[in-house]
Amino acid sequence: MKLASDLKPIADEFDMYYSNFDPDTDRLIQLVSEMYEDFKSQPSYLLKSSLHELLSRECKVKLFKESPFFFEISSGRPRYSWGGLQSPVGSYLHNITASKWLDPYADALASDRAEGMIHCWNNPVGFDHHCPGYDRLHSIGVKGVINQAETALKKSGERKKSDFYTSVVRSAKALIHLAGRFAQKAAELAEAAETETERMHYEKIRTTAEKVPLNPPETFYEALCTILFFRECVGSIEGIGFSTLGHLDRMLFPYYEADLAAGRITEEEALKLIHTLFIYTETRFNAERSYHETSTTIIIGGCDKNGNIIYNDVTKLILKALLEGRYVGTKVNCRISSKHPREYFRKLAEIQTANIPSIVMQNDDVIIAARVKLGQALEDARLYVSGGCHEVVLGGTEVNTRADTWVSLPAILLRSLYSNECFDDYQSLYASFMHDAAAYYERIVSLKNEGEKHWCEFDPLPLYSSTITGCLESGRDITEGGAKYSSTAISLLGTATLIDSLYSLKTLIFDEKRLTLGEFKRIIADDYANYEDLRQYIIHRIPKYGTNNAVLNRFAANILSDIAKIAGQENARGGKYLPAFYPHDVFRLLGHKLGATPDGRKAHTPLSRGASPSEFIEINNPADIIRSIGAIDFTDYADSFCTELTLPRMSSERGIPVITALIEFFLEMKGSSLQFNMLNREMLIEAQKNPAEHADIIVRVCGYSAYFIHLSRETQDEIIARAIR
Amino acid sequence: MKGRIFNIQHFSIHDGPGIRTTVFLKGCNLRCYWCHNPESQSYLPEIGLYPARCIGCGKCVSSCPKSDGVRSAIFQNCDGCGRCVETCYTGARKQYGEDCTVDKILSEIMVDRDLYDKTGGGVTFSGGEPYMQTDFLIELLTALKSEGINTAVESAVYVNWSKIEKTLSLIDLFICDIKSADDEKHISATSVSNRLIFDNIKKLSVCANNLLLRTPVIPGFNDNYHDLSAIADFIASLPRIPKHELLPFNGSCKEQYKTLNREFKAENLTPPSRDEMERFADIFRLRGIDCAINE
Repeated sequence: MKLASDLKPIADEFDMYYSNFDPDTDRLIQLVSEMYEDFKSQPSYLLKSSLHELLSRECKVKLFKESPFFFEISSGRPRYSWGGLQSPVGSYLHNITASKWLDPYADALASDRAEGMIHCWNNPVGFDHHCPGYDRLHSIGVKGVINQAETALKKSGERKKSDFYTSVVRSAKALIHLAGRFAQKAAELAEAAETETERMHYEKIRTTAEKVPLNPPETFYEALCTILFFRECVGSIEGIGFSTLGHLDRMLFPYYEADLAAGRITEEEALKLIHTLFIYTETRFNAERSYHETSTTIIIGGCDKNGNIIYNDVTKLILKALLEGRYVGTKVNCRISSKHPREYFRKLAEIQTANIPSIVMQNDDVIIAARVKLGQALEDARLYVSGGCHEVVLGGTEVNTRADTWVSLPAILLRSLYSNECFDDYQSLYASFMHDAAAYYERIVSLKNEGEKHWCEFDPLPLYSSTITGCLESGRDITEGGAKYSSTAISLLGTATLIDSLYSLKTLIFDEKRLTLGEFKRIIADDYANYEDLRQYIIHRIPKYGTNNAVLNRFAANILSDIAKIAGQENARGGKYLPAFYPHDVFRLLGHKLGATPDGRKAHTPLSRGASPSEFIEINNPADIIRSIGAIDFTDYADSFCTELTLPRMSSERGIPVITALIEFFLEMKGSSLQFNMLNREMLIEAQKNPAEHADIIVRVCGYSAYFIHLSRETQDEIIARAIR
Repeated sequence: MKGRIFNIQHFSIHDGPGIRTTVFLKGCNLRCYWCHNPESQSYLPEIGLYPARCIGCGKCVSSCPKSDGVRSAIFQNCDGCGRCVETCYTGARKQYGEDCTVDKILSEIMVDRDLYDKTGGGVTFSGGEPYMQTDFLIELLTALKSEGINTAVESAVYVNWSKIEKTLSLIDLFICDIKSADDEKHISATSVSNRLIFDNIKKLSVCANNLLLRTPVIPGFNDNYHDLSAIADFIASLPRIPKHELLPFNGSCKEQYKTLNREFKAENLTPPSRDEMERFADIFRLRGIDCAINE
């Protein structure tokens, strides 16, 4: 983080607060457990509202002298968290009922987890990576939500629906009560202020907290307050992880433009507000001194619901703030398309050459088309955001549960190989693998659905639901399928490891007949011991995914197309399972548990990541990685499928035209998501030896970035390995 | 026609504008003791050995026509035939020097055509000394020009002007080293006189489409005010003052020397710091030369 002198006090105050703060967990848990005993026989909707009412009364509110936002409550949520299940009080109902609907999922998969087939925990429904309907909050405010729910309640004859509407009204009013307590606190602080500046600061917060999120915001500042208040407070008291602050430039630009015209804001003031947003995440997660997942994402660029390109002055301010502040904690996901101006790509290239890897580029041309292919409406698909890392979800209309389960494709391949004596030809080996992969996926689907069908019964989410299209209309919470789109994404890991392994099997066993499958299986099981020459032959002489080999490109495209078809089942909320490939750190974890694979990968080493080739293969030309993806139809994958390009560090003068061209090339090749890692191997090795002297090196790890020296040695080594090519 | 190259490097970003492909021609008539590409010097094919990659499979020994099964003999009697390289999967043995047709090189170059067009890049011929294979170079340059691809040549220009003259209309960017203005020092460090080089640079400054002069800053050789000023004075006296770059000495090639079992005389030198490089660049800038530091 590199801050101008007027921004330092903001960071200092946040830092001081979060270094010492008391989340008040024990007291709140005590209160909540007493409430639970009193009300546990009530329908879950009403029970959840009771929880919201209790917490909106009891959580202590905190205001900052240097930041004009109001969002911080002591809610039992620890420092390094963003809500969701990390909030033991807000997710009390979830935790106390876990044995009835969540634990069975984890228990059923315990041996698979140990074997490295899958990574998951006791969570068949994703409590994270969500995006509330910020647009609805901006257009009608919580007051509008309450009105809609009250109107529907009057008409509703069904008990369960009435309970839902009642809970929306009660919980929304509780939320407004909480905002009111911020206003009250601000009034007290204004009263006690020592200077006129301070008094005005708190007075501004008071009037704003009285106004939003109850009413629609009218200014840039109020619109930001609505977003941050809802994300933080609802994340805490409802126990849901909102990983994204939303499509900020699209949402905020009309307010910014109006403010400028009315003389209510200057460019500098708007920039400072954006900096404050970045600084909050940076300091809460102590990003400069340690690594913690922040699951905090901002979306920029892309288009509006009518397809008009978004690249406006707010986009530029956000990128300017990122460039000035060198922020690591907030992930800035940049939607790009063939319609965007080159100037936008040049700005992204400038950030890359400044060695700030906090951005990822997501291709509208592909991702929107993929969503439409699924049957989602074009105008909804155009409003996609991505949260957590780069997981795609349609803002305001879709609830996608995900990032709770990762399946290792290479582990399925090995299981398939070991459970068959031999195969007549490659086609039968491949068919056996695809059959096993589909069967495994089906098994996970049925286990997930078994848990998910109880979601509403144990832990509904009325506040989140009240912002999502479909819920108030249908009288159903998102947990029982009220959202317009209810999807589930299970991540499939190790695609390049799988492709290369299959091609290696085809070549060695069936084309060259170099050895029998039985012999090869024994060699792999023994981690290529005494067969290093064979392993080297596989690595260096058999074509690999990512090298733009025409045969391999077609081979890979066919496999990925088949893999996409194993998803599509119905989930317990009436929506669909989508094929997904987001790796987070799990590619390393699942790789660690897996034996050697037929592609020459040694046992206990990482799997490949996203759409990227394996790191241990030879690639003479980084452009080949982008060319290789040109053969794949990424509109088959509704979720982000990310390719990483590791390049040497470059000066801005040299690097900007190069990176700009690569972004445009990626668009032409119709890839899904793209991220760069500008790495210098010697520098990283030096940083391992003398961390203090290289404290400022930031690297892209997977969907997130971090200071290199704060990563574990294993992660550091894995990143150095990427820089060898 | 065939020429002898030792590498084709794709996605090269330090040898001219944009994304480029650099074709390295084998054989050089200078012997600079800091040379970054020791495998470029001899015109004869050579085999590099990368011990870290060797898995001891022994295939190189059994495939070597000169070894008679004796491991040490494959070094002593090596004539660079390359049989061992073919059998070595790991890349522990690497061939430097392959005779390639113009067509083969062109097909490899054209793979990145789209990137040249997008980035203002193109193809750079480096070495070795490309003018040691002038006819081959002319054929390649002519083919690229007919395709409309941007061309650059890196040369030490210790060659007869007539050779250079024939190529000038085919080269968009001429990159030329200028190492020392002191002829005695030049001879002792590179084994050749700088007179021909300086004469050629004078001509190039007038005739080349676009000239870029580069000075490697070598500790103990020219990393001082006196030597760099002399170079700067010469550049400033040229009829048309070309752009200039300073390249800090880089010792990362020391492993490369080991692979060829050759001594690297600059091994213990410490690269100049960024601050020093900036001060050196000022020597040129003060004389009105557009000088950049190329790292």
